[in-house]
Parts: sequence; C-alpha cells; structure tokens
Amino acid sequence: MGSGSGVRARLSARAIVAVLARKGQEEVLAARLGLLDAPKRSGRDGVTALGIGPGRWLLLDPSADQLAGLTDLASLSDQSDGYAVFEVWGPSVRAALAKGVPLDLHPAVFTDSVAVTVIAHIGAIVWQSAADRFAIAVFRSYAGSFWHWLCASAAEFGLTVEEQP
Amino acid sequence: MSRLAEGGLIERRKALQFRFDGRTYRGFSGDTLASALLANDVVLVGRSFKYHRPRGIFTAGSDEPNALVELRRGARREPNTKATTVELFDGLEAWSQNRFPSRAFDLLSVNNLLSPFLTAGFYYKSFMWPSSWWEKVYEPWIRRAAGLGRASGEADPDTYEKAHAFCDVLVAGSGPAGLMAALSAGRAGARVILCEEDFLFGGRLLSETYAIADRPAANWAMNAVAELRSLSNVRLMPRTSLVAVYDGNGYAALERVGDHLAIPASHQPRQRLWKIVAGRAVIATGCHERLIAFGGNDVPGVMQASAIRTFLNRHAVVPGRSVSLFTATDNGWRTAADLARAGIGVAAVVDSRRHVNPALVAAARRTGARVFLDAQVVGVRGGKRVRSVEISTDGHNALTVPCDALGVSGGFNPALGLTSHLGARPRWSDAVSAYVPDALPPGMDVAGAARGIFSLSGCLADGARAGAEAGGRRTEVPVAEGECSDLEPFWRTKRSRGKAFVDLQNDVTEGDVIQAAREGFISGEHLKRYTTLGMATDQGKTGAIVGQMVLTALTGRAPEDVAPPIARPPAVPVAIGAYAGLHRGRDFRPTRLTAGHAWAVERGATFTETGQWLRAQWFAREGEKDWLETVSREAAHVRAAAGICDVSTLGKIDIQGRDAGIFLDRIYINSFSTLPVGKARYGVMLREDGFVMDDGTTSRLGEDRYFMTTTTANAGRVMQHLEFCHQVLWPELDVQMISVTEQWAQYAVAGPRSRDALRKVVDRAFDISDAAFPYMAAAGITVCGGIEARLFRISFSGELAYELAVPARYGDALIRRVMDTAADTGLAPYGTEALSVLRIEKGHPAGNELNGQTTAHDLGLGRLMSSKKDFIGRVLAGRQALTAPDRPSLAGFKPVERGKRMRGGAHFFVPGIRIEPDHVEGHMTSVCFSPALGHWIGLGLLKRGPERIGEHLRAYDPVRDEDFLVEVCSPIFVDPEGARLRV
Repeated sequence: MGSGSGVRARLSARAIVAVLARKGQEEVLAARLGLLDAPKRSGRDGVTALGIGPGRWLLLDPSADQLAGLTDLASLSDQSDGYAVFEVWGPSVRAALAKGVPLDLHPAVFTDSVAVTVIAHIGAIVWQSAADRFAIAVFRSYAGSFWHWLCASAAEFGLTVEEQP
Repeated sequence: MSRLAEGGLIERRKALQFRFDGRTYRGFSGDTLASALLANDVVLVGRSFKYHRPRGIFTAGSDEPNALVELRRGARREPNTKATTVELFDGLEAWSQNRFPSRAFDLLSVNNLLSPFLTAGFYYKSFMWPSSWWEKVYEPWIRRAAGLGRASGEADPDTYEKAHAFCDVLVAGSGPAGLMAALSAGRAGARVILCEEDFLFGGRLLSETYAIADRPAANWAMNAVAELRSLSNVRLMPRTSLVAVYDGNGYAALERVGDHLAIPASHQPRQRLWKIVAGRAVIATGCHERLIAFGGNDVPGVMQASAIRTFLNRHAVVPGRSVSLFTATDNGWRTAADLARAGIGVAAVVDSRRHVNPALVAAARRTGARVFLDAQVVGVRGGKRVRSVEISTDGHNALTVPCDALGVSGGFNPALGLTSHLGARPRWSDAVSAYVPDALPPGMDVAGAARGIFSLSGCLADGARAGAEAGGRRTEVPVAEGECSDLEPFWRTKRSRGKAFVDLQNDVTEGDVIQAAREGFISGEHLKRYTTLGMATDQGKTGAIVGQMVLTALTGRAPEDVAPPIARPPAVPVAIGAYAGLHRGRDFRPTRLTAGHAWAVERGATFTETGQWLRAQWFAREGEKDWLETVSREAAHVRAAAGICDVSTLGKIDIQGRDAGIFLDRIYINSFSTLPVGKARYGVMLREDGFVMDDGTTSRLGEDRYFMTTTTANAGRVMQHLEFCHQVLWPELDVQMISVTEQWAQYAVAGPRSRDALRKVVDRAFDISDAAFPYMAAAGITVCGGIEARLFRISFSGELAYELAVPARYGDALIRRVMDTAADTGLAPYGTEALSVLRIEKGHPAGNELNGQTTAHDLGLGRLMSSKKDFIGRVLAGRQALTAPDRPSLAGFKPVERGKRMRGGAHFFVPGIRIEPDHVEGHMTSVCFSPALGHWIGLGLLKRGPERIGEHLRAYDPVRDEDFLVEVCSPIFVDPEGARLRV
C-alpha cells in the first residue's frame, strides 16, 4: 500500500431486509415507512431504506415493530447474510472509486442517490452512508474479489482498514 | 551536437542519460526521444517496413510514420513505439527495429534493389505456387523480412487500470483553440476536463515564435494553463489522448501514467484507460502537416516543416546545418524564417506555387536563401542522410542544391478522426484543400485547426466560440501576431527521380498507386487494401490523403467525387493491457466463493470453476493415485455411509405473494399450486420455444411462500426469466421474488447414515425421523442451539438424503460442527465429481443433458407435463419436430466389453453401417466410472432410446480415435425402484 491514508475502509455489519411491495400496495407501504419509490435513500425513525427497484427497498436495521405491521403490504426477505457491505471514505475516496464505479460521485450530483450498478464486473449497490462516505453492498460470495479490486484501486493513495465498531 | 546554446522548453539543469542501439547519449528533461536523438546527430533511426530503406525522424508527434523503436528491455519491451512521442527519462533504452544486422548496414536492403518486383500486390501474385510452400517457406521469410519490431514474449510485469470521469465540457487538445475553449468553459464554472496527449500543455504554441497578447506564445499558454490549474472545476490531464468516441456522450481516453518512467511508480499503473461521459466535447486536436510525393522524400533528414520548428523552438535542436524547404504553403516560409533567426543556414526555399506573398519571399531572400517559385523538388541525394536536393523549375532540367535537411509542407490534414468514430463522414473543403468535419455526433464540437482553421488568431477565436457554445462564458480573445497561412494543394512532383512515397510507414509509393489504378482498384477503400496505404500505427496521418488524391487525379475525379475517409477507434494505438485493466489472469472475471470455501481449502479440496463459482471438485486423500480413485471412493462412501457436499451455489429464489402458486404453475410444466405447505417437489421449466430451460426442486414454506432452487449454471437466467414473466406477461399477479442464493449456505447430506449425521446438529425439538419428516418434506428448523435453518428431504444421489440451509454467516461454522460431531457416522465430504457420478448412476439429467436442445420428453420427463393447465413452452413443445418419435432421447449405456472406458461425446452408429454424419443415431452426453457397478456407464441421447434397450451400438469417437460396442440400457443404473430414498 502507499503511505498515508487516502482511503479508509471497513466492513459494516447491518441487518438488511428486502421489502417488496405487494401488488397495488406500493403507495400505502411507502407512506407507512416514509419511503421514496425511487433510486433514493429514504426512511425515518432510524431506518434507512434504499430504493433498489420499483416497489422494492432494502431496509437497513429495521426494528421488529416496523416489520410487524407490513404483513399484507409487503413480502419480506432477510438479506442480512446475502450482502457484504463495505464503507469507504477518506480524502481520495472518489479517486479510488472512480476506478470501478461507473457513476458520477461528485458531491453535488450523488447525494441521496442509490445506485444498483456494476463495479469491476461485480453487481453492487452504492449509496452514501454519510457525507463523503460511501457504502457499497455486494453479494457475499463476491466479497473477496471486490476487496481485491478495492485494494488495487486505493493502493496508490494508501488504504487503512478499520475494525468494525 | 546539434543543440542550440540556449532557448527551448527544456530543463538544461536536468540532464538525462539514455541508450539507443547500445550507445549512451545525453539529453534533457523536456526532450522526446526523437529530439534527443537529433540533438546527438542521430538522424538514421531505423529501416523501412518493406524495402529496408534508411529512415529518419519525419514528424514531432503521434503522426510519426518512420521513427518506430523498441523501447525498454526484457518483459517491458514495447515494439513500434514512436520516438516522437516518447518522453525522455533517465536510463531510457531503445533500439531501432527492422534492421538486420544493423541500422547502418542492412542486408535486406537488397529488397530496395528488388523493388521493381515488390510492388503492390506482390505477395498475392507471387507466392501462389506451390501452395505447400506458403506455410513452410514464404510466410516465415516474409515475416522475417517485413516486420515492425518484436514483442517481448513475456508477461507484462506492469499493471493497467480503468477509470470513469464525468464533466460538463471535455476538451481534447491544449493548443490555442483547446486552451481558449477550456478557459471559456472553466471561467463560467463548468466542470471541465482538458486532455493533452503531450506531457506539456500548449500544443502548437510550444513550438512557435508568434506573440499572443504581446507575449511569446508559449508564455501565454503557460499563463492560461496556470489559470486553469487554479480553477477547482477544471481537471487537467496531461499525457492523455482521447482515443475513441462512443454513443451516449461517452469518450475513451488513454492516460500514460507511468510511460515516462523506467518503471511505474509504486502502486501506480503504467496506463489508465478512462471512460469519460461529457455533456459537451470540444475536439481541438489540431492538424497534421502533409508530405509531398517526390523522389527520395523518405531520406533521413526530410521532415515536416512544422516538425523542424518544434525541434528548433521547443527542444532547441537543429535538424541540420543547412536546410532547404519544399512547400506549397506559407508554413514552409515560416520555418525558413525561424531557422534564419536561430542562425541556421537556409539553402533554398522551393514553392510549388507561382504566387507567394512578396513579403515572405523578400524575407527569405534577405537570409541568403535561394528562392524557387513555381518549382518542385524532384529528387533527394544521399543515402543515410540528405546531401542535396534536386530542384526543377521546368519539370525537365534539375539544379542541385547542397543541404543536409529538407522541410516539407504540402498542406494540412485536420486531425478529425474522432469526429468520424460514430460514422459521420467529413467533407472536402476547397478553401483549405482538406477534409473538414461535417455532421458531428450529438454533443460534439470541433474547434481550431481540427476544423480547418489554420491561422493562430482564427484558432484562438474559434476555441473561445466553442467554449462559449458548450456552456461557457464569452471570453475575450487575445490579439495574436498576424501571420500568413495561404496554401495551394500540391500532391506530387511530376517527374520524380527515385521512389516517391505516399505512405512512409508501409512503403507505399506513388508508383504503387498508379499500378493499383491501372489494375482497377480505383475506389479509395480498394486502394487502401491493395497497397496498405494508410494502415498501421500512424494510420497514414501524413500521407494517405496524398495517395488518395493521386488516385483521384489519375482517374479524372475531383476530391469531392470520392468518399471521404473515416476512422475507427482507437485514434492512437492502445495497449491491450489498458483495455483489460485489472481484469487479467485470475482476475479476468470475479470469483465467487461459498461460505464453506475456507473449510474446503483446509481439507485439501481441488476446485473447479462453475461459472464464476469455485466448487470443491474432490477431496483427495494421501495415497490416492489419481482423481478417479478419489472420486470413486467419495461416491461409494455416500452409498455406504454418508457424505456431505456444498450445494450453496444452486440458485435460490424466494417467491411470495397471493398468486405465487399460480405463477409457478405457469412457469413449470408440472403443478405447484397443489403442493402442500411443508413439501418439496421436483419441477421442470421450458423456454417459450418448448425446450427445457432448467430444473430443480421448489418447496412450499407457507401459504404464500415458495422457495425455488435452480441449477448453478442457470441461476441468473432463471431469475431473469421469472422477472420477465411477471413484469411483462402477467403483471396482474400478486407475486414478489428475490434471489436469496447468497443469503443461505446449503449442504447436501446424503447416504444411509445421513439422518444420524444430521441429528448431531438439528435441535432436539425437531423430529427428523422418516415418519415425521418423510421423503420430500421441507421445513424451517433450528440447528446448533437455535440457529435458524431450513431442511429439505430431497435427493440427487438416490440415497436417503437432505439439504440443510443456514444463513450464510453460519455456513463455515456449520460444516465444521457437523464434520466434527458426526465423525462416528462416517460422514465424509464429497465434491462435484462424485455428485455427478451419483446422479449418472441414478439417471438424473444435468447440464450435459439440459443443453438447450432437449425437450422434457427427450429427457424422459414428459410424464410431468400437465395437461390441466397452461405453462410457458406448452404450445411450442407440441410442434411436430419436438414430438417426432425418433428424436434422440435419454437412455443408459454400458460397454459390451465391461472393462472399456467410455468417453462423453462419442457418436452412436448401428454396427455395420457406414460411419458418416447422416447415420449418427445420437451421442453420449455424460459418462462416469460407477463404483456401484464396477464399470463405466453413460447417459446419452439416442433416437428412440427407451425402445432400444438391449441393442448393441458402435460408440465412435473420432477425436480420441475410439470405436467399440455399447449396450443400450435403462438410464437408472442404481435402485430403479427408489427404495433407498424412503428409509
């Protein structure tokens, strides 16, 4: 790795539940949970919802209460083990991500966006978990290949790996 | 030394050492290899492609046809590198190419004497007979004689990468037009990317002595660059060539990150290929000065008039002591003036025009140069360097003028290749005697010389215009010194003495063009293919148009009568490595690993690729002599005791909704809405065309919830198919689906003792006895003290078997725990190969049989097809061809002589019938050694297979040269009653 810490990364363990609206229930469901039916980050009461398709969201760390009332509104599917979620940040994070993320990550452009995209031939979901901090979810089996790409891409800036909190 | 004592944009305090053909020379930071060679009086730098003629440096840029070198040594050797684009670095090593044994004395220059025979089409015409000689004699000889450098033959030790960038305005080229466009857009706050192929910004301004805003042009350029650098919205990319234009405002650019270093910096790639998406693009790539076809126009020392100015003004290098110029433009006179100002003797200025601006003529005369108007250079004397030029004013008699360099200016070719990458053709402009851009792709503009505007003030103004139109701000155009930029097209000298080249890189002469015309190759495209005019690394940037215009004139046409040339990407050569980026070798594609992968590695598994997945193929043990012994042991052990196999790679789809059952009824040929909750069922799905798409088991986990499994290979395709069917065909159904392949780690536990093994991890609360959890049961359970899990009693092996799934985070722990606690049951891991043996013994079709050409009937699954409902593929599965009785269908095969090893792919023939394609009865799809039977067995597709049990057939394998008898049998070799499943 290069010297310095142009890029920092950590694995982020989160509960992930896929919420797929039942037929015709998209609006009711969206209103119930404060969701935007768009490729956007939304949600309320501490729940982050990622719009990943029409009528489809991934909820991050939802409470049991929030899920309990959705029985006739949505089909739920636990995906907590299906994804490896990486968080990356640091002064050179955009330069490093540009080596695989085919998206304009300019601060004025990629704000509350959620992108279902491809990074280095690996399907990925990208959003900002905080300002200038990117979260990237890849299917679990690809975690090794994704990590290899991230190391190669961030190496010239220096990559620091942080423990999960 | 031909270095001037002062001047130029070189850092004289930074001296650099380099080697060329083994000799050490010195140059300066800011030199190119070409300028440093000229500074050291190295004028002869290589031999030509076909005739092995001595060649020198012709240009100062990426349009260079001659000065191709091998750069670097060992694994980093790069052939065909243009010396004019190589930024000098300390320790650089380069070699001339295409010379044997040396560049000064080349044995193959005998080709030059044979040249009457080596004209266009020579190889096609001469090496026809005897045909057997082509591969053995002719081709190797031609390849040795005509080549362009040697590849290293070793793996490239450097890395390459790809990157993405986005901007409002992309500017290609940083000459006067490009800088003005970037300033105009940048000052307005637009996100600007300015690409420059050179290591310095400024383009042509670095090579000129003009004044802009009362400052030397190079200073003005540096100020402009400094301002751009100060703008946070502007990104300057030096050493970056825009190489391609794609749809959707996409552009490709090649950044030479480490090419100016002996070895790229730590963790940096050698080159980076950018994909840039730009709202608008301004192509300001300038122009290339054209050669003129005259005798000896390839002798070292002949070069573009503008290149002479670059070497002189930018690199402080003099290409000769006494220079002549042959020009059809005012540009040649400008070179004469710059040379004279630097104190270099100008021997003669020869202009093909009758009328030339008198001020230019007077200025040249004042320097002592001899001036010839309405005149032509008809020949050049000198072998390895210009000694004199022969000038004719009447086309007959010639006068010899001694000189050691000759600058040529036949006009200018706008560098407009990028404008035609999407198919737009340029148009001929009589005003500038050149092709200029016409229709442009959406979002693209062209500015300056690339648009046919050749004056400095015109380029500055046009760049400002383009920048403003791309969303920039109107910017004041600085006042440039007035200049002359007249020209009259001039292509060829009429009575050349010696060879007159129109393409220096490919050794295409004016004579070749005349010959091509004579033989009927009068289309520009035919001329190119027949003579190779305009091919290879320079793409004929300096001369191809000259050749085309010679043809046009010969055939009595005007330039506008012929199809203008278009270019394909890339605009300059791009290493394949740059296109591959990180994705080479093991990283060619990503690798998917199951949760139990690390455990399998520890157990010494051998892995096989299944799509992107790595799966354990077998687990060899000490003393086993080959894979067959290992696999036979694993398969036999499953039938004798218990085995465990990672099946996490199977596609898994969570299907929910009130209409999930109806949805599955329409997807599968058999019924699923009738499946009770807590049960699994084998299902087959067809493609719309009636052929089998995939198979697998699907379980009903709740009233509104099913869990589908697919084959590993088809997981993505099936998911896509389901989404299509729902979104497009039946959007009215209340059904939701999502892949959960990655959520669950799943293991098959098979064999008579599999239940005993599972009992070690399944929590006590769950009764998995045969009575409570019979064949085809499915349930959510817990394992290892409360871990959520799913258990399915399904079998691919024909034994008592289960599949156990846990959330993927527990996949590794589960396999370790079960192997540990169930050791007394004999539980042993088995890989995909044993899995395959077990399924062949049971006659289950798999990938080799689900090959996209088989129907459910062909596979013996026709009885599953429900007649009570509609499903995808039902109608077309009923077509005549798919129900024909003699379609090859699934059968089993054994060698008649039991000891024989069978091979997949063997064709079946009736014994005694001639072996020919029309007589093929079918083929062997899967084979294995069956430990249960003690001999090789196979599955295959045979015409009327099930009706031919007991028949003997020839299994003929021309690939492995095998031919023996097999007996047709039932495809189910083991336990045909299925008794072992239900214990």
